[in-house]
Amino acid sequence: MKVVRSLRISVRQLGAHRTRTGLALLGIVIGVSSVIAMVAVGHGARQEVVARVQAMGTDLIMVTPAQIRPTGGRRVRGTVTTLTPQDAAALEDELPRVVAAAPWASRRISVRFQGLSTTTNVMGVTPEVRDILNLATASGSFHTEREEVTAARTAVLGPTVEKALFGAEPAVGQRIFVGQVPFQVIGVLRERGTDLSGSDQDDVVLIPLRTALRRVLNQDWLGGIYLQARSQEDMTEGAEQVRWLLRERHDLDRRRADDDFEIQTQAELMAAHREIGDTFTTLVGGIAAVSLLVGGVGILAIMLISVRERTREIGLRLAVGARRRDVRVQFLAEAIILGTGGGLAGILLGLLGAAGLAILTDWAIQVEPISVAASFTFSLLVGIVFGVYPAYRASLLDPVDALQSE
Amino acid sequence: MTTGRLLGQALKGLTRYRLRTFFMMAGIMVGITVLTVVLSAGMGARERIMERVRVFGLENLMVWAGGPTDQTRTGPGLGGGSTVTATLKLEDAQAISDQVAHVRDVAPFAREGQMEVQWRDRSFTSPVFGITPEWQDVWDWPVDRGSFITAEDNASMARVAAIGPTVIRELFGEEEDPLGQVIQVAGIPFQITGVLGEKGTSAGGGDMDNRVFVPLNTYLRRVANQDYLTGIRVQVEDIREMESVSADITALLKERHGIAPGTPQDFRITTPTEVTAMVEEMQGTFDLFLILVAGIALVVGGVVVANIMLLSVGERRGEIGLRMAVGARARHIKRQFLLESAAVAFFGGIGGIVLGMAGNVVMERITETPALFTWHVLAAGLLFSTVVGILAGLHPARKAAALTPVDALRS
Repeated sequence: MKVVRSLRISVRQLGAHRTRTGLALLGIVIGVSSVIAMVAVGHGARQEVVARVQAMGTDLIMVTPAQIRPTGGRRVRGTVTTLTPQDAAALEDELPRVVAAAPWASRRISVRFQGLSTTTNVMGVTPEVRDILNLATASGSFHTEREEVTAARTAVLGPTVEKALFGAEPAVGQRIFVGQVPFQVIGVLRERGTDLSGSDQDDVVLIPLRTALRRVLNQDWLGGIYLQARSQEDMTEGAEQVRWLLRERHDLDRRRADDDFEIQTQAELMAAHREIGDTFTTLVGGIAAVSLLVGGVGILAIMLISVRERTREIGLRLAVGARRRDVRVQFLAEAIILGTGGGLAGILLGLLGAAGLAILTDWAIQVEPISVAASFTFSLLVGIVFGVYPAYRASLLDPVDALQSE
Repeated sequence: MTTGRLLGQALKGLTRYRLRTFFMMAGIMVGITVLTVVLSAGMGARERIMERVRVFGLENLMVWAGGPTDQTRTGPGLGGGSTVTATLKLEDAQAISDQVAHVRDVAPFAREGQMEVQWRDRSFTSPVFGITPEWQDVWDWPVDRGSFITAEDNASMARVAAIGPTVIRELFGEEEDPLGQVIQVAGIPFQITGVLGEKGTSAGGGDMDNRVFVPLNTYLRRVANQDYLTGIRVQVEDIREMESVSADITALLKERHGIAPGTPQDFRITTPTEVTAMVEEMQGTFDLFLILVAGIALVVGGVVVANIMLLSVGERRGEIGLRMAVGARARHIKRQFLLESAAVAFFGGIGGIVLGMAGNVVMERITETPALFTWHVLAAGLLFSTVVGILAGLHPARKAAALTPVDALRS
C-alpha cells in the first residue's frame, strides 16, 4: 500500500518539476545513446577499414610447384610438372574451406604490335582469377567462361604493356602477337602499380589458361594456383587441407616423398590485417568505456543538484508525518522511473543515431547488444545510487534542519 | 558599472555558490575530457595503423632500368624492365639522393634473374640481389638473427649474404644453424651473416622469402661483373610528394642520360597505385570515424554543460531580483551571467583538458596504443567549452534579466 502511495507521489513530483525532470532525463538519454552510437559507428568503421586490407588478398592461399622434384629418395632439381588444372578443380570441389581456385601458367614472352615489342609476363588464367585477385578492367572486358572453353586467342593487357605497345592509342580490338601467335585485345586492366614485393603488377598480358597451355606454352602443368579461403580464420586449416589433398593426389605419401609444391600466404599483409583490426577494436572499446564513465558523471552531477534542491521538500514531508522509509522509497522510485525511462529513450535515440550514421557514412553499421546492455545498466545504477544516496542523507536530518536549509 | 567590477561580481557569485560552480565546471570538464580522450586516442590509433601499412611500400617508388619498349636488346626478364639496359648507374642513385627534394632514402639494387645457391650437396634457385644497407629501411625488411648487409660490407666488397627463410628451409632444413655457414652463390663462396624474417608473398604470388641479399659492390664486381643497376627504390618523405618526386626523378634522369624530348626513355618509374588507393580510402574512413565520434562527444559534452547551466541559473532568480531591486539594469545582469558562464566554461575546459590527458594515460594502458595529443585537440576543447558555456548561459541570463524585480524576488 505504502509503496504504491510512494510511487504515486514520485510520479506527481516528477510531473510537477517538468524542467528538472526533463534535464535529468536528457542527461541519461544522452549518456546511453552516445555510447550506443559510438560503439556502432566504431564497429562500422572497423569493418570498412579491415575490408580494404582484405581486398588486397588476406584470404589468398598460393600454391606453386616446388623447385625440387622428388624421385625415390633423391632430390633432383628441375621443372616440377605435377601441378595440373585437375588439381585446381579438385581443391575447389573437395575442400569446403576453399571457395574458389584460379589455376595459372606463365612465362616471359615477347609481345608485338606492328613495329613495337616488349617482353612481358604472359599469363594464362581462368575467369575466376578476376574475383580472387580483385582485378578490374579500365576498358574493354575480361575473359569469360566461353573464351576459356573455346581456347580463344584473346588477351587482356596490363597498363604497362598497353602503354609500351599502343601509347595513347586505343588497344581494345587490335591484333597483337604473343610469341608467334596472333591474339585479339579484348580489354585493358585498371592500373595497380607495384605490389608488396615491389614488382610491377601492370606488366602483364592475361590470356585464357587453355589457350596458354595448348598454343603458347605447350605444356600441361601449371605455374601455380590461387586459392581463396572461406575466411581469414580458415587460412591455416585450409592450407593444411590443401597440402593433404595434393600429397594424396600426387601419391607422395606412399612414396614417402617431400612435397612437390609450396603453399604460401601473404604473411605480412595478414599480420597487418590482424593488427589493424585489433587496434580498432581496442580503440572502440576504450572510447566506449570513457564515454560511459563520463556519461555516468553527467548523470551523477544532475542527480546531486536536483536532490539537493529538495532538502526542504524532504523536511516538510517529514514534518507532516512521513516516515524516513517513505521518503527513501519515494526517491528510489523516482530514480528508477527516471533511469528506466531515460535509459529506454536513450536506447531508442542511440538506435536512431546509428541508423542515421549508417545512411550518412554508407558503412555497415551494427549495434552491439553488449553496448546497449552495458550503457543501460550503468546509467540506471548511477542514477539510482546518486539519486537515492543524497535523499537518504536528507531523510536522516532533523525536519527542522532540513526545512531551514537553503 | 565597469567591466572590472562586473568581473569581480561574477567571481564573487561563483565562489559564493561553490558547490554549484563545481558542478558546472564538472559538466564542462566531463565534456572536454571525452573530446580530448576520444580525439587523442583516435589520432594515436590512426598513426599506428598508418605506421603499420607503411610496410606495404606506400612511400616508395621504383625506378627501373629499361624503357617501356626496346626492340634491340632483349634479355632474360628481370621482373621489372623488359630488357637489359646498361644505362642506370650508381651515380644516378647518388644524384637522386643529392638533387631531388623530399627524398628520404635511395636504395639502388642489381639483380639478374635467378641464380644457383648451394650448400654442401643441396642447391636452390633463388633471386640474388645486390643491395646497400638502405634496402632494409625502404623495405622494412625484418631480420630474424644476425645482421642485414652493412655499409662496411658494401664498402669492403665483403662476401657476406643475408638470406630469406625459404632459402634456409631448402638448404639447411631444421637441424643446421645457417648463421656463419658458407654458401656458394653462382660458384662464389659467401658467408651467411643474417637470417631474414618472414615476409610472405605478394598478391601476385611473388615469394619475398626466397631471396639472397649480398652487398651491391660485391654483386657488381664479383658476381655479375657489370656496372649498371637493375633499379632504384626511392622512399619519399611523404606520400603526398610521390607525384612531384616522380616527375623530378624523370627530369633528372632524362638530363643525365641525355634523352632528347620526344625520344623514348631508357628507364621507367612505377608507384604502388593500388596500395596507395587502399590506404587513402582507409585514411578517409578513419578520419570520418574520428569526426563522427568527436561530434558525438561534442554533443554529449554540450548537452551536459547546457543542462547544468540551466539548472543552476534557474536557482538564482532571487539573487537577480535583489540585484535589480537595488538598481542593476537588465544588461548588467545579462553581462554578469555571461561572464560567469564563460569563466566557468573556460576553467572547466582547462580542467577537462588536464583530466583528458590523465584519461589518455589510462587509454594508453587499455589499448596499448600511444595517444596523440596535439594542440588542435587543446584548441578545439577550449574553444568549444567556452562557446557552449556562453550559449548555455545566455538563455537563462536573458530570461532572468527580463523579469521584474518583484517577480524575481518572490520566486
